[in-house]
Amino acid sequence: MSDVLLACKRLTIGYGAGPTVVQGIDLTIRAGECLALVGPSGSGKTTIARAILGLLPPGAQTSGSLTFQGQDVLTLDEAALRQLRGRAIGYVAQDPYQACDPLRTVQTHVSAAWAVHGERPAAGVVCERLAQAGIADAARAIDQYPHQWSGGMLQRASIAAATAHAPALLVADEPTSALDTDRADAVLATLKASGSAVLLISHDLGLVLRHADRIALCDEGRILETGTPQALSISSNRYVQNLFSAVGVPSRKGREHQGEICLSGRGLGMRYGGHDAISDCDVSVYAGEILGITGPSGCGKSTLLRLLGGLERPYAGTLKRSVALNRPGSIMPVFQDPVVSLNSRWAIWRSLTEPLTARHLPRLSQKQRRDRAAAALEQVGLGAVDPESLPGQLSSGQCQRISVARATIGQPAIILADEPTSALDTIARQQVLNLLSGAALDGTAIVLVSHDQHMLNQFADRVLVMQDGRLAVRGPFSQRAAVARPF
Amino acid sequence: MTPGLASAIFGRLAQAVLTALAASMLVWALLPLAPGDPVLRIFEARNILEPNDLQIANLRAEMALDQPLPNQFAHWLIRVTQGDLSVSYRTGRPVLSELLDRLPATLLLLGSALAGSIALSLLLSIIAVAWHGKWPDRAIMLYTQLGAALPTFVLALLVLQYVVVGAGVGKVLANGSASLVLLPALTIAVDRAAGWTQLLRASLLDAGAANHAMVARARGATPRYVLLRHSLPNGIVPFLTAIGISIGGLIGGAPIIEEIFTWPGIGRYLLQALSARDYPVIQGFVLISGLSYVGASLIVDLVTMLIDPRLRRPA
Repeated sequence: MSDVLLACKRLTIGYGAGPTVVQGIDLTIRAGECLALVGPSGSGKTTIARAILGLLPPGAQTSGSLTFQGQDVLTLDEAALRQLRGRAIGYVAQDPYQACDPLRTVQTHVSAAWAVHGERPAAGVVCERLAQAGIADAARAIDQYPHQWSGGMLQRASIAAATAHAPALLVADEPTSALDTDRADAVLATLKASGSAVLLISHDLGLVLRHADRIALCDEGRILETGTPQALSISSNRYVQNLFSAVGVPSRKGREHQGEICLSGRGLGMRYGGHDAISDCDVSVYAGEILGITGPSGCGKSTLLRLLGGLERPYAGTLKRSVALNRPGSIMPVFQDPVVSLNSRWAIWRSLTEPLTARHLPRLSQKQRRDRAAAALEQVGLGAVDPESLPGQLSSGQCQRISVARATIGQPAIILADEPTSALDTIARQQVLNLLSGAALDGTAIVLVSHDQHMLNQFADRVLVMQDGRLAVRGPFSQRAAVARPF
Repeated sequence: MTPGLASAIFGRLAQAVLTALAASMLVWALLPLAPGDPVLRIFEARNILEPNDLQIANLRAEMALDQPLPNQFAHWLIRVTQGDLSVSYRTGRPVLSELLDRLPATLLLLGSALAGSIALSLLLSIIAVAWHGKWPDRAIMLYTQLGAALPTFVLALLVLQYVVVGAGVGKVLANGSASLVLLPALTIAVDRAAGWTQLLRASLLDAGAANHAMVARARGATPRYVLLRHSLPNGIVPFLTAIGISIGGLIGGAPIIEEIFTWPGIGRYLLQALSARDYPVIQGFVLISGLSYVGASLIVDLVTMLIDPRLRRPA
């Protein structure tokens, strides 16, 4: 057995009178290994990461021990912690754009790894590190600002900064959840190539199974089980079994859409500031089908979705709608971030039943709206949730199920869903997909935009692949299966 | 300079010129809307109490008052750009030279007040954030609450009563010189800085809670490094915008402060002009304060463009 690098013993973290976030966990990380910490949102993963960095928010109370290279991090003073941070423990954050100061160039951002310790990187070192992390033409791109870089590239630059001092341990908190699947794999490869031990925090079990040496599954502040991917896949723990069975996506392959065309666009184009966001797109949406649209970030997926939804007028081309689409509430959206897409000051019954207040519908009393909301909650498996609760009191998975319930409550003709599952953990993702699938069976057309091609291939009836604002591949899944992935 | 920055700056300059033009149109409209015949008022100011019809017609033609309104405006605008702001009804002297005589004193007062309040609010908000939640922060918050609630002239009266008369510091009758500017400037600064400190403190706290600040901490940065290198540049943009907007308020508030401290600036002169309904002078003051506002917000926008690369794309 290789050396133990980090060991938590009965580590407990709580805030005053509030809930105990981490409840007596035992965890070890060995030198050079990739340990994945997997669990639903709110299960204490990020708190553990912050405890390892000695960056718990003020007021946090800890007990037990957290030993890194023989020192107990929980008892170290701030100056000693600063020596560990960056030098012995590297940190990679979730969203690379938010992890970079928007006012500074990428060069400044990477060389800050030295600057914060009062050092100056040797000439050319920053470029060299970026090149090692797989960034072509680093010398030119380095003086650009974060918003001019792609997410995948910027995340690799962040990794180059996090590994500047060859730390023994890298803490990566959801390092790929803002990236496309293919880029996520490349970023994880860069992470592991650094030679450091990696604590990989993720809610994406599928991704973790492809990369981690060992997996620790946590829920509600406890570690349920730790082991290799093979060992866990035959675990007898019911929660673990559920988690593993949810890695797949509800498959709908082989269904043929029978419905009529409810929306069709010919030669759709959109320009922003003289630049073509999308051009020459032909799309038809049939009642009761699930149409997937995929492609790399910035390819125009969301723009196409906005045009289909009538939120913007196309710059070129024509859009034909069936008569059913002329009444308000017939096109409903589901957005990526479930918590912010519900009004944070409204009780959920109010958000949920808002589509029922459209002008052409009979007026409902508050009592009737509450009853309808309770029934809808029951249908999406949230019967135990109080309709009076606020979105902030619920998990993101619950909020997204409420968003789907809101989209379906008025029996719309089309649901336009933009990355509805990318902020969700594995189990919540499956629940949301099941709800969308159920809506399609009731005759609602679902247009599902996602960067997760694996998921769409399983779940959608047809998948359109976009690249640089154009539809690269069209047609049913079976016809395009042989086409190589273009990105 | 990148092409994006150049065209963004050009666009902003063009916008400033348009704003100045629109503002001057409003300023010009003061005169046709004012009661009384401006030609008769001017003769009065020249001590010609009963001008004959020929004199009146000549002056009317000279000022283009016999022409339709758009032509009157064009004529007025050309005269203004040549530095002719007409004559004061009260003294008969050209308005421009009357204002220019008094402008240095006002610039000295408002300039030092502005510099003082910027320095004060920067200092206080950095202290408040560095000791967030501790007693220095609470003390500063108390000051900002009081300062924001209190009108400037109340503080000015208190300063005059207790510091100048009571303690004998400074003079009751100021002559507008640099040696006496400290008290009135500090009075304005202490009052102005209250609101700005609240704003800057809040944006510094927001910027400090951003993910990039957490990443910097996780790389071993000290709180001071994060505050000065990341939070300050990110948090200062709304602060600068607020300063640009309140320049107008600063100039509009000058008359009261100048009156209390008997400061011989254009603000006091405006009060005299107001009570005498001396419209050309009022017009001149409004023109100066409007153009200062346009100039200040132009400078603020250019500075924020230099700070934030994301603003450098043309709109």
